[in-house]
Amino acid sequence: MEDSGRTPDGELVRRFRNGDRDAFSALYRAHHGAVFRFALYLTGDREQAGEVTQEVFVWLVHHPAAFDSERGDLPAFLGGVARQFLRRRRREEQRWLPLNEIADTAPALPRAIAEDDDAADLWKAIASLPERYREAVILCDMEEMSNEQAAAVLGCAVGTIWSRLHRAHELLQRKLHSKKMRCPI
Amino acid sequence: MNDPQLGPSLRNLAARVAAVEPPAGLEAAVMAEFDRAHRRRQAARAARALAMCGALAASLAAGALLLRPEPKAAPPVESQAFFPIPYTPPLEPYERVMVVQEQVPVAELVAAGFRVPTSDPGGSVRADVMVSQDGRPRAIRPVVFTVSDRSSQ
Repeated sequence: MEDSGRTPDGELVRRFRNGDRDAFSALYRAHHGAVFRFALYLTGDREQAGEVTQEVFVWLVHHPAAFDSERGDLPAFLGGVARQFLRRRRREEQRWLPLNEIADTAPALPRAIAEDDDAADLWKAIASLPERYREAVILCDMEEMSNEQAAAVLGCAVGTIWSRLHRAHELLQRKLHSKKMRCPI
Repeated sequence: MNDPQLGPSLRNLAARVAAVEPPAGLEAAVMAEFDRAHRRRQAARAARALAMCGALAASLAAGALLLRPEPKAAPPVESQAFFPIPYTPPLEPYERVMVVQEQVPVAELVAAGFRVPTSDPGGSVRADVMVSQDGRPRAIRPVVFTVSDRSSQ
């Protein structure tokens, strides 16, 4: 996912650890989009996704030594951090929501997606997947990560990603097919 | 992606999601936090350096104290002997005395049998006077040998 003309992440991270503001800014610009989209897919809300993105990079500011390039690449690392923040956020939201409101907390539809019916249907179908399948689809299909990168984000085996993707695709096809059967026009 | 229908749909959705912009001000907020953290880190680094300098200075001071030569003992104060006043009974060993310092007229010293090298018999000499329990002077020790004349008193 790195641009070929860009300074490698390892070099930017090394400079950022030494207090180089420009290096951190370059890291942010290179990776905030992927973090934002990942959070957007999982929250369905642009504002919340923005907050999670901010939390991830602020966390990185305060933990400059946390990323170990030997254990994986930076996008996968940031994805893992974003996932932790999203889970924490979900736990806290559910703790304070009345029981009858929990069912109504489905992600809202961003306008760019709502404009296209197929995209909206697919978005809703993905949103209705169990979380483990949804994460695999988002990372591998939407963000075009390799199975290895997705496994690093989700902290599981590569084979697990493969099987989750397979199952997710089955479920998506079934959901979309049943939707078309219900609304043939 | 095996499904020929799902693949294009997923790519279409991905393109639409990519068009969603993050809220404005996100980068500014993150960079502001970077600046704050950087300032804090610099301050902490300076404080650490200062503490290390302090510790170094303290170590050097302690070393200097430990390695400095022993101060020479102050020379003992030369005790000058009291001269017994002639024609008074000697002090018993158990007798308690009191030493008072006063201006003693030269004439009295001469009368008591001391030889005072001064041309002014009206002057006085500062001296320690040993007084016995009965209140009588028994011995004398001149403190200042210069004789002060009467006009200065």
